[in-house]
Amino acid sequence: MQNSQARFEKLVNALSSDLFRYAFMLCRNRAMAEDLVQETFMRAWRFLDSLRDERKAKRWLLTILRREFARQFERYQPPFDDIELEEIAADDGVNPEVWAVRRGLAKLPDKYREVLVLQVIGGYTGAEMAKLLELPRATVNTRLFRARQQLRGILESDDETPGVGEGRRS
Amino acid sequence: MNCIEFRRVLLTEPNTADAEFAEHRRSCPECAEAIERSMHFEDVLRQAVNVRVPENLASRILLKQSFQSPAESPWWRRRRVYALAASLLLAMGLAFMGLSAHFEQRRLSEEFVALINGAPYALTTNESVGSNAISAALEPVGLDLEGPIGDVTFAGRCIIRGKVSGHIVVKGETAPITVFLIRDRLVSGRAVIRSDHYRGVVLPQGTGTIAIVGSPGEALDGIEARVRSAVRWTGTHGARSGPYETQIPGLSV
Repeated sequence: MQNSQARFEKLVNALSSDLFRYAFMLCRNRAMAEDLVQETFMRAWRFLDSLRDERKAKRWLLTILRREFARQFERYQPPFDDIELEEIAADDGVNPEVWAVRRGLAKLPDKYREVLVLQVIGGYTGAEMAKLLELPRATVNTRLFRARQQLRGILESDDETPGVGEGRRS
Repeated sequence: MNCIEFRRVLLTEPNTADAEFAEHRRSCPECAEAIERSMHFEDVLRQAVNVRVPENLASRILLKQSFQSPAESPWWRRRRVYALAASLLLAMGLAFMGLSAHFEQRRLSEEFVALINGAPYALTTNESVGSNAISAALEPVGLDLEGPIGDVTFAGRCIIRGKVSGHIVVKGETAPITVFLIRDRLVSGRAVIRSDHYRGVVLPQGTGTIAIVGSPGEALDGIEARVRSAVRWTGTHGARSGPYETQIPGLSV
């Protein structure tokens, strides 16, 4: 049991931040995101023995979190919460480009935002995400393509974000 | 790889290590410029996703977990407030005894469904697990299976109400069937597990409890008979003993 405790603590310390970021991008509410992460780790603790390969720990936890989100917030439609985003911008002191992308992400359809955030946070290949999301790989690729395409479109239409959509031109 | 294909990959997996992608980048100045612009976009995207994490998040998770840890003393002994809450729940349960059977069944259903949903990996493995591996997984729980119960694709342990329990998945006709083996008696009699996506049964067996959960429409009679015939509670070796085993809160023993 001591070994399980050490193993669990290692997972929490290594992965709780990324899980929070993913949870926040799903529900766009900091309090809900923290609840989701807490619940995810409580479930993980109960089934720690089923995690045989530590290299798959992140994917395992993300899967639990996705299911927990679906279970708890099946009928919950997160509002486009400017207050929450403004608060984060102020707290983080983020630059305008980052702020614009964050707003753009919030405007993306959920299914597009999710694959993009998963790719950025997890560094997964299309095949790995297809497995995690239980979707055909072609569907994942299409969503990734459209996510970036739409995000760039949103950014290009925003006059306050010169250069982000196309990248900086010298 | 042509330019159109390159741009498609750039929007799908910009960090790909694909050799054709790298080769096209070297040979096409326009696409090389496109990827430079894309790298800046990806960098900003990473920063955007990198939102501030609540302070002490990891510590709070570990604190919460410490109250659930079976390695520690049971949570209801740790704090008087929990003991009081448990007493209050018990009193309420007695007051609503007329509804207790229905409530207990619903609670058990939710609990076992939550256990299954909490371990998605257990349902996705497809390789058969041998009898030695099954015994090795169940030995610390203090039980064994003497005889086949079906094509086992997962054998492990989970914690049910603070108790390390056996967790097995068997191939069913239509979908995997999950079997939980708990060393203590959780129920006084047979009860049905029912939810939107699952059907099952929980029943006392000797000094322990068996729960079998499958998809709606799946016939569970066969596996129930096989599990009941095979399961052997092997004593306290490796398992917890003493009052901890018999005073699990909320049980209808």
